Amino acid sequence: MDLQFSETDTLLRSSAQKLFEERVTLGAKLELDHDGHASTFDQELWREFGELGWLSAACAPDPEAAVVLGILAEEVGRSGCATPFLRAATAALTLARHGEGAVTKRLLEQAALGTQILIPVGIEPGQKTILAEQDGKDFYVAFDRRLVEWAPSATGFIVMAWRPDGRPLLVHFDHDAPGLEIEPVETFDNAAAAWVSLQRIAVSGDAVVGSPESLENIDETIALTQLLSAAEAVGGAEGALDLVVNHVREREQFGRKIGAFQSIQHGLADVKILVDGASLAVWSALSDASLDRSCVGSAALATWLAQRAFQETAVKGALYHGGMGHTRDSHMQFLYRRAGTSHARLGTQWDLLGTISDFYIAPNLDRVTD
Amino acid sequence: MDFALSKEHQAFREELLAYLDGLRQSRVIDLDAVSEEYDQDPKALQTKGLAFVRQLGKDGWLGIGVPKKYGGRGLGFVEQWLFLEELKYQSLPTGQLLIQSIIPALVFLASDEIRKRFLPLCMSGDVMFAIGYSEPNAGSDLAALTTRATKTDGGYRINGTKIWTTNAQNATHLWLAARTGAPDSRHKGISLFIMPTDQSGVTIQPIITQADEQTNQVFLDDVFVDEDLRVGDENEGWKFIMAQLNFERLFCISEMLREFHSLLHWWKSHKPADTSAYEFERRELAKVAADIEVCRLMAKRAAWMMDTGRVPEAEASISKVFYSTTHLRASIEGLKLMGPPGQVRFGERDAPAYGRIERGYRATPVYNFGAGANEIQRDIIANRGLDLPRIR
Ligand SMILES: Cc1cc2nc3c(=O)[nH]c(=O)nc-3n(C[C@H](O)[C@H](O)[C@H](O)COP(=O)(O)OP(=O)(O)OC[C@H]3O[C@@H](n4cnc5c(N)ncnc54)[C@H](O)[C@@H]3O)c2cc1C
Repeated sequence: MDLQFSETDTLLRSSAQKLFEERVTLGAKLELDHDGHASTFDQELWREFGELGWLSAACAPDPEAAVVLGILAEEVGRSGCATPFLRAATAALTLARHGEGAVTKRLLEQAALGTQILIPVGIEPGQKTILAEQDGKDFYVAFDRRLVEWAPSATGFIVMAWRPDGRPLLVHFDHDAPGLEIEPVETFDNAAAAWVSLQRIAVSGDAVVGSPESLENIDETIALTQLLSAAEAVGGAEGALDLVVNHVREREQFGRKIGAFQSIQHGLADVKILVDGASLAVWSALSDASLDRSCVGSAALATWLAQRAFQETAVKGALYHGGMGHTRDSHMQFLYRRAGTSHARLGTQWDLLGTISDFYIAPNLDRVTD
Repeated sequence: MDFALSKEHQAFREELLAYLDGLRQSRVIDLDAVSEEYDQDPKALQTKGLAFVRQLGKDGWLGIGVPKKYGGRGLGFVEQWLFLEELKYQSLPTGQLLIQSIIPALVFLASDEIRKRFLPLCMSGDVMFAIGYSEPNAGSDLAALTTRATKTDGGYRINGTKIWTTNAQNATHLWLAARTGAPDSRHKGISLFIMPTDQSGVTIQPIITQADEQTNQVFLDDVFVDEDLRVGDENEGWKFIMAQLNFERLFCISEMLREFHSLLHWWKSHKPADTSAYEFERRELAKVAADIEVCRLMAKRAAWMMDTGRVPEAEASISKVFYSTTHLRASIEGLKLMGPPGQVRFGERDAPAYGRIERGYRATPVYNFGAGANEIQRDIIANRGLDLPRIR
């Protein structure tokens, strides 16, 4: 039992923090966020991610990568950086652990360098909405107007589709593949997104990068990618808490710092408790994942907690910033918006609580019978 | 990084389970009867509970956290935490104050003489403590306490009134805070004593809580305490109080978990699956389960921190506030699920979930203010955890 980060992990965290502090400044965010309408990300920063080896972390199947990716996800979240990093990590992890063949190898090599930005479609817990119809020996895949984060920046898509026998297939499409339609759409976050549709097309040969056999245990990989989003949300909550604590330490009203008012201290203490609890849950589950232990239940639990912590912190953070936090020129509003879109990213309450119930309620129904 | 229990911790847990199993089978002690008695009033050790705790002492379990040189097993806080969790989950008394408060405070802060004198008695279960801090006019503001210890030949004369002195009726000693400094000396003028309760001048008057549990008001009228029974130097008692409270704030979860699992069993037996109500309720229960899991992680972290030489400060307060609010919420959610039968009182035949939920609802508010009220804990979190200015 060891609840602390290794020296290497701590070093990685501090270098990530330093990079984000230098590069994801308020000015830089505002520049990307043209009048509140974002459509792109900092390409230069992306290249640096590649040079630092961060993009390759998701391109290998080793479970230990969970901690490295968790740290990076948390720091992305803390900075409020607009980047396809987590989406690309989801696609890459899925390919690295379950992909087969030469195409997989090539895609992962390019993804590690950052020249290939793979965006996942349908790789989400509980989602079996994309179907692979069977006609003779061939499978056909189609879907209509799915909201896909960072689709406008994708060079390719990794799609999870479900066969009539309930078994999955992993399919790769280039961004300009025939039949694929990408319709950029604005979200209220500073991340780009698009409605993506796919006309019914046959998938065979090189397009199929994962088979039912190679996708066995996919639930664990999906849980890990869900946990990375939870880590991002915890980072967002921590970032919001830092911002608001700094603000209440400086801002004066009634002749004293507003951080000296007990109501504000207690409001912040309450969100600190939520953030602390969510962080423990995320890291406990990530440590399990990194040691190749199952994390499907603990990922749902950590995700639910992270979602709550992020949203509550963002609301309190905005509240205690007063009017200034409400303006477009405030750091706080970026995290406030991100907290709002995190619900879309982290899954519905129904799904998350259903899974928590499967793992934490169902096994305990007959534990105490007298 | 690995949050799972180590092999040694797991082996300890298995050893404990095997021990309890052996005890149950050998019938040296009737554990069911002990549990039954404990269930009536978990806060006060009674005859069967006391015999069980002495048995634990005889078999070496009370000394798990005592260093070997004082005759203990020299194990860590994680083991002590596991021990408390397991016993509480089985509804068995733990000699909790000993393990969770008095022994660590003695081990870490007391003089060698006090340790040598009291640790063996703690380990055998031959002493039982009650905590004598609160007074009618010194609750959250404990540094305002006025019970006075006046120096006399060979010791002190104690005068004052303590309140909420839980388990004083069974205790052999009070872990007593009294003023030795000037009346306005606040926390700089308090000393800590181990005061035998059989001294003349001690009057114990019961106070019964809404949960039918006993706590007490204790009147101290010129009670003599030997000088040797002062723990630490004169006027240096505050650090013992703080250390003891910090140990006490590391809440175990299994009392809540047992109640919750009783609720789950009742719910499963009374609510048909495959209905929309069932689907809704299993998700409401999942929210509680998630928070209970967080409480477990917080307790585990605190034990790990102490085992690795770290001092949980904000972490102890975080754990305390989250535990207390979660425990109360778990009871309330239980009552919401149960409908009309939920109001049947603990002890009545057919009370849902053996009445544990309604009992929990009545008993749990104490955690919101016991061991330092939650508002005071939030002050600590803001001050030590967020570095905001001190307001008191
Ligand atoms: C069943 C039971 C068992 C107990 N067992 C023991 C025991 O064994 N030994 C012992 O010494 N004590 C014991 N206590 C006492 C317990 O520790 C106190 O109740 C607690 O410290 C709070 O003190 P109080 O009850 O006087 O409430 P008060 O201090 O009067 O507090 C009332 C309310 O005001 C709030 N408040 C107080 N000060 C502030 C502030 N500065 N800012 C914001 N809010 C504030 C509190 O949070 C609380 O909500 C027990 C109490 C009960 C009921």
